[in-house]
Amino acid sequence: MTTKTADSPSNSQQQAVMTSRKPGMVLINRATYRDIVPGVHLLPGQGNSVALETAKGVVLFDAGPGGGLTANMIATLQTITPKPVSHIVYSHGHLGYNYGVGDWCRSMAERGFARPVLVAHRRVRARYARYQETEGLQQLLNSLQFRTNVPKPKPEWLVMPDIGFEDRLVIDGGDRTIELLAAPSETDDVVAAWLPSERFLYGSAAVIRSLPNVGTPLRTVRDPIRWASTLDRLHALRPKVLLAEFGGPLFDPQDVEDALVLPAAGLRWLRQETVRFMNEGLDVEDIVARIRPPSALFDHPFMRPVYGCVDYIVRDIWRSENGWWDRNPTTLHPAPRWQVEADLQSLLGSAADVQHVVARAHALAEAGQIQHALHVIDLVAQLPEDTPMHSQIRDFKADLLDRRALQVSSVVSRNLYRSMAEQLRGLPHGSTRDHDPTHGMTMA
Amino acid sequence: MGVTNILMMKKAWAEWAPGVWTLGGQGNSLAVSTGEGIVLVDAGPGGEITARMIACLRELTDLPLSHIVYSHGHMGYNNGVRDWLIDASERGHPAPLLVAHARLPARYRRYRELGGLGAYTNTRQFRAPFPVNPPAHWYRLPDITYQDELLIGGSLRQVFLMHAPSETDDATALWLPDCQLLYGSCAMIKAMPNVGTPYRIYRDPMLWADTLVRMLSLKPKILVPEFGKPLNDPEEVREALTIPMLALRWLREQVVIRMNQGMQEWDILHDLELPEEIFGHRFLKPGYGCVEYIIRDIWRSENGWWNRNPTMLHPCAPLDAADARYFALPDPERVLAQAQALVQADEWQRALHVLDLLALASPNLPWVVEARELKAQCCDQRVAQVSTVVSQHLYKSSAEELRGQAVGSGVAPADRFEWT
Repeated sequence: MTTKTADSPSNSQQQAVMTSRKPGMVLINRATYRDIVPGVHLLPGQGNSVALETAKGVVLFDAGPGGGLTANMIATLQTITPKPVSHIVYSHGHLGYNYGVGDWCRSMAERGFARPVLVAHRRVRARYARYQETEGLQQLLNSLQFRTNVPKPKPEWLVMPDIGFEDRLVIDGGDRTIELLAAPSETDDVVAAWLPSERFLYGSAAVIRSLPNVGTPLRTVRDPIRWASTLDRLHALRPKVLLAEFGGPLFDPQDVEDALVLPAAGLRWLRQETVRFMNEGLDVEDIVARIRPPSALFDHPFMRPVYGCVDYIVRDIWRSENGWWDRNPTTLHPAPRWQVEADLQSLLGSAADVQHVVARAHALAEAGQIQHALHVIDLVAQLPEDTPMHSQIRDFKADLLDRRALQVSSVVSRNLYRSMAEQLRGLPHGSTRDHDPTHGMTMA
Repeated sequence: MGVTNILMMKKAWAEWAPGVWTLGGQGNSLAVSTGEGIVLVDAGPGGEITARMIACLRELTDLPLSHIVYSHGHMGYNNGVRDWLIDASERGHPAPLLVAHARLPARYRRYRELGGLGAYTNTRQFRAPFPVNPPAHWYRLPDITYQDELLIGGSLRQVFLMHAPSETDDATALWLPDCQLLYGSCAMIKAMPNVGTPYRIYRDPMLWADTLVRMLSLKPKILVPEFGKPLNDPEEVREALTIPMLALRWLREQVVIRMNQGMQEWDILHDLELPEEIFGHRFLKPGYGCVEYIIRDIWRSENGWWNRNPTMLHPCAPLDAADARYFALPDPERVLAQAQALVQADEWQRALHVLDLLALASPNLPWVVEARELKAQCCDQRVAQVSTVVSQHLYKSSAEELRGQAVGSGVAPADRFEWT
C-alpha cells in the first residue's frame, strides 16, 4: 500500500495512472491519496472509496468489500483522522462495494462512537432485494465476469441503508456542506458527491474515465441517454477537481471537461446512429457489424474500451427499444435444446462429417479467422456427446477462445472468453486465472 | 384474424352505472359524467371509429367533454384526440383537458424518434402498413400529467385516476368510489398478460402483479377491462384480478429458481409444468400473450443480451457467419433432405432449426433458395400450432418476407386494417 500526498496538480497527474496488481481483479483500487482537496481522501477499496472530513465526522463513500481490504481501509483512515465515520454513503448498489458496512459499524462501536448513518439512493433497496432473490444467478454471472469464485452474497453483506433519497440530499457537516446527487448511469442508484465550496466532484459510477460500460453482456439494460444526461448535470456544476470511480483525481480543467463531456457526446452519437439503423429496419447484429464510431469522439484516453466497448453499447440501445426476439421465426418458439441437438447429431454426427467440419474450422483458424472458425466449430461443438472426439472438439473451441481473448480490448470480453474456455475444458470458472496473460489493465 | 378483430371494439354504447358508459373504440373507451362534464378515457383511433364514438356520446348527453384521459401511451388509442377537440370547438364547448401519466410524453417522444422501427415492427405484428412518419396529431401531448394519482371532482361523483403500471409504465386506471366501478385500463385484459411480446420493450411482470393487488384492495363491484365485456359478478371480478397476479408471481418464482441453478433461457422455456388451477383459468387464455413470452421477459429482467455462447460475444456479421457455416457443411443438399423428411413427419419446428443451416446463408448459394421456401412453408404450418395471434402474425409476416413478398400482402382485403 502506498500513501501519497497531493501537493500539486502535476503530482496528481502522475498519480492518476494505476495498474491493478492481479489480472482479473480489475475493480480493486489499492492506492491511498490524501487531501485531494483539504480533508478529502481516497482510501483503497473496491473502486475509489472517498473519505470526506467534516467537523461532525467523516462521510465515507463505500465501505469496501469487507475482510482484509476493509480492515485496511479502517486502519488507513485512522492514520489520517481520529474522527468517527458519521455516514457511509453507498456509491451504487452493485455487489461488493459495501459488503464491509458491518465491519465499519463494529469498528465505530469498539471505539465508542455512534453507528454511522447508512445513506443511499432509494433504489438500492430494490436492487439488494433482487440480488438476494437471485443469489445463485449473481454468483454465476460474477464468477464468469470476474474470473474468480465469487461467493453468494450473504444477508449480512447486504445491509439495507437507513436513508434512501430520490434526487438530492445535503449533509451539513458543520464546517462543510456535502451535497449527494442522484447520478443514474451504470446503475439507477448511483450517488455522486459535490462540495460546493471547493468545487470538488466525486463522480461515482457515472464517471469512469473510459468508455461507459453500458451493455455489459451479462448485465441488465443500462440506459445510455440517462447516463449522458447525468454527465450533463455534473458538467453544469463546473467542478474544479473531479474524482472518478477509478483512478486518481483530475485537476486540469481540460481533463475535467473531457471526462464529463466526451462520454456524454459519445453515448449520444451511438444512440443517434443506432436509431438511424434501427429505423432503416436493420437487425442488431447487422448494426454491430456496421457501426463506425468517429475517431474524433472515441480516440481519447478517457474513451478507451478497456471495460465497456462500442458494440456492448449498441446492444443495450437496441435492447432499450426492442423485444427479446431476434426476428428469426425459428427462434420464436424454439424446439427443446435436446431435440435440436439430436437432429444436428443425426445430420452431422458421423465421424466423417465431424472431421469435415473440424478440418474447415482448423483451416479458418490457421488463416487467422478465429471468429469464423468459432461459428463453424459450433456446428459440432454444441453436441453434448462424451466421446474423446467431442472432448477434443471442445478443447479446440476453448483454444479458439483463448486466442480470441487476445483480440478484444474489453477486459469483460477477455474474461468471458476465458471463463467459457474453462467451462469447455471441464474446469471451474476462474481456476486458471493466474495463467491469464496480463494486459497491463490500467484505469487511467 | 385481422387486427380489426383483436383491438377494435365496434359495439355501440352500454351504461354500467348512472352516467358511466363504454363507447367502443380501440379497446373499451369509457365516458364518465361528473355532473358538469364528461371524462373520456381514450379518444379512439380517429376516423370513422372515433366519429362513431362522438355520435354515440352525443346520443347520451349534451354535457361538454371536460377531460380526455389517455389509458396508456400505445399508438392508436388516442390518435383521435384531434377529432374530439374539433367536435368540442364546433359545439362551442371549451377544449377538454388532456390528461395522462407523467411517463407518457417520454414514450411519445421515443415513438417519434423511432418512426422507422415502429413501422417495421407494427407492420409485421399487426399485418397492416404502419406509417414511418405518422401525422403529428397522433402524438398530441397531454396538457397535464400526474405521478401516482389524480382526482377529478364533480357534483355527481369523484373520479380517481390511478397509475397502473402493467403492459406499459404509463397506464392509468379509473376508480369511481360512488359506484365502486374500476376501469382497469391495460392492466386488466381478461387474458394472459402480454408481457414479453416479441418486438416490445421490457414489461415488468412484478409491477403488473402489484398493480392488480392494489386494484383488488379497492374491492370493485364493477370491473371494466381494456378489452371485452365488463364484469359485475363478485367472484368473476375477484378472479379477473387474482388469477393473472398469481400466474405472474408463480412464473417469476419458478424462473428465478431455475436461473439460480444456472439454467439458460432456452432450457427454462421447456422446463415449467404449469399448474392447471391457475393456467387453465378462462381469464388466462393465451390469445395474445403467452407463457413463453413472459418467461422471456423475466429472463431479460435479470440478464444481459448475451446467450452465454462465447461464439456470440463478438460474432461475425450474420451473413458472414452463416456463409462460413454453409461452406463447412459436408453436403448442403443432405441438410435440405433432412428438413424435408422432418416436414413430411409434420415436425415443422424441428425442420426450421435444421433449415437455418442453409436458409440464413447467401441466396446465391446452392439450395439456399429452396431452404428459404421450405422455411416459409414451415412458418405457414406453425401458425396453426400457436395460440397467440402475435406469434401467428409474426410467422405469417416472416413467411412473406422469406418469399420476397410485401408484409401483409396475404391479408384478405375484408380483413385489412388501416391505421387512420
